[in-house]
Amino acid sequence: MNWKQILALVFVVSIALSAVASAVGLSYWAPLKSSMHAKIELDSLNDLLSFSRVSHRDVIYSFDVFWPLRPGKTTVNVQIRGLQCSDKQYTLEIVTMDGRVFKNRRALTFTLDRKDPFMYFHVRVDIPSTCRVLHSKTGPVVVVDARTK
Amino acid sequence: MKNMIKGSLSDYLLVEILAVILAAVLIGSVTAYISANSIYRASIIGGMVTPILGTPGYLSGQISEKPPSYYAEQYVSLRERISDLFGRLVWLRSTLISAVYAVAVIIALFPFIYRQRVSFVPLLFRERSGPVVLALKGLLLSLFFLIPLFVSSLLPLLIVSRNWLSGIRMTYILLLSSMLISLLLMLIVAVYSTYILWGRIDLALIFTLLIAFGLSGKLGFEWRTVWVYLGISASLVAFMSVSFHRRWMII
Repeated sequence: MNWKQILALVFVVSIALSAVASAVGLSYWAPLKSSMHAKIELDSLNDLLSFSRVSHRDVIYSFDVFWPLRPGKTTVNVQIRGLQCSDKQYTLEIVTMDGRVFKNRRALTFTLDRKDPFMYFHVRVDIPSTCRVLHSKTGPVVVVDARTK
Repeated sequence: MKNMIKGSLSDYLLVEILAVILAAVLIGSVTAYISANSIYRASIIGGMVTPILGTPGYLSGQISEKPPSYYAEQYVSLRERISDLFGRLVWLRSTLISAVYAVAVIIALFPFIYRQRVSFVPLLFRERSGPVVLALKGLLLSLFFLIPLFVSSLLPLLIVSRNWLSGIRMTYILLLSSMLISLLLMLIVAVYSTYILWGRIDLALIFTLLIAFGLSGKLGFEWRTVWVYLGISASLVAFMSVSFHRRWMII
C-alpha cells in the first residue's frame, strides 16, 4: 500500500469507529427510560360529584404530563381506576404535542412518533354526575402508561 | 511533504495508526457521553413536573378550556427552552472535555513528533535534531492528521441535532462545534509547539493540561471563547516562528 491509501484508511477507520462510539454511547449514556408509568390521583372527586349532582354539571380534571422519555414510536395508554359509571361513561381527551386530539370513552390508547427526548401532552377527564367513586385505598386514579419501542 | 510523511511514519506506522484511531474514539466517546447526559438534564430542568400526587378538579363551566393549539404552542416553547439548555449544559463540563481532548491529542501526536525529532534546543537535552524547517511543515501536517479528531468531536453533536433534539437552533450547534474545534486546535498547537521548543513530552503534557484547565472554567458559552482559543493558538504559532527565526539567524 502506498502512503495515500494508508492515510485514507486511517481516516476512514477512525471516523467510522468514533461514529459507532458516539451513536452507541449516546443511547447508552443518556439515562432516558423507554417506559413510564404514573398514577395521578383525582383529588376530592367524591365531593365534586355530590356538587355536580345538585348543579347538573360534569366534573372536569385537566392536567399536563411531562416526562423525559427516549425518542421513538411511543404507545400511550390512559385509563381510570376506582370509578364506576352506570349509564353515561366518562370521557378521556388528550391533546398531543402536534395539536392532535384523541378522544374516547373508558380507556384510550394511541401511538405517537416522537423526535425529542421528552414527552408532553395535555389530559382532560370529563366525568358525568352519574358516576360514583368505588371504595379503595387511594381513591380514583388516572393511570398513564407510555412505552417506547 | 510526501517524503516527510514517509520518513516520519516508516518506523512508527502501526503505532501512529493505532494512536490516531484511539484518540478519535476517545474524543468521540467523551463528547457523546457529555451530550447524552446534557440531553437528559436539559429535558428534566427545562420541563414541568408531572402532577403525580394529585390534580384538582372543577365543575364544567367554572374555568374556560383552552383550545388544542394552545398546548401545541406550549410544546414548541418547551422544546425551544430544552434545546437552548443543551449547549450550555455541554459547555458546563468543559473541564472534563478539555482534559480528555488534551490526552487524546497527546496520544495522537506523540508517535509523529517523536519520530520527527525536530527540536529547537537539541544541545540542551542532547537530542538528535532534524532540519529546523520541518517544524512548521510538521505543524501543518499534524493539523492534517487531526482531521479525524475534528470530525469525531462533531459527530455526537450532529447525531444529537438530527435524531434527539428536533427544536435545536443551528446557531447553537454552530457555536458549540466551533468552540470544540478551536479548543482542539489550541491543544494541538500547544502540544506541538512545546515539544518542538523544548523537546520534552513531559513539559508538553504539563503545559497543555495547564492551558486546558486554566481556561476551561473561565470561558462561558459564547463566541468570545472561540476567539480566545484561536488567539492563544495564533500566539503560540507566532512564538514558535519567532524562536525558529532566532535560531536560524544564529546558525
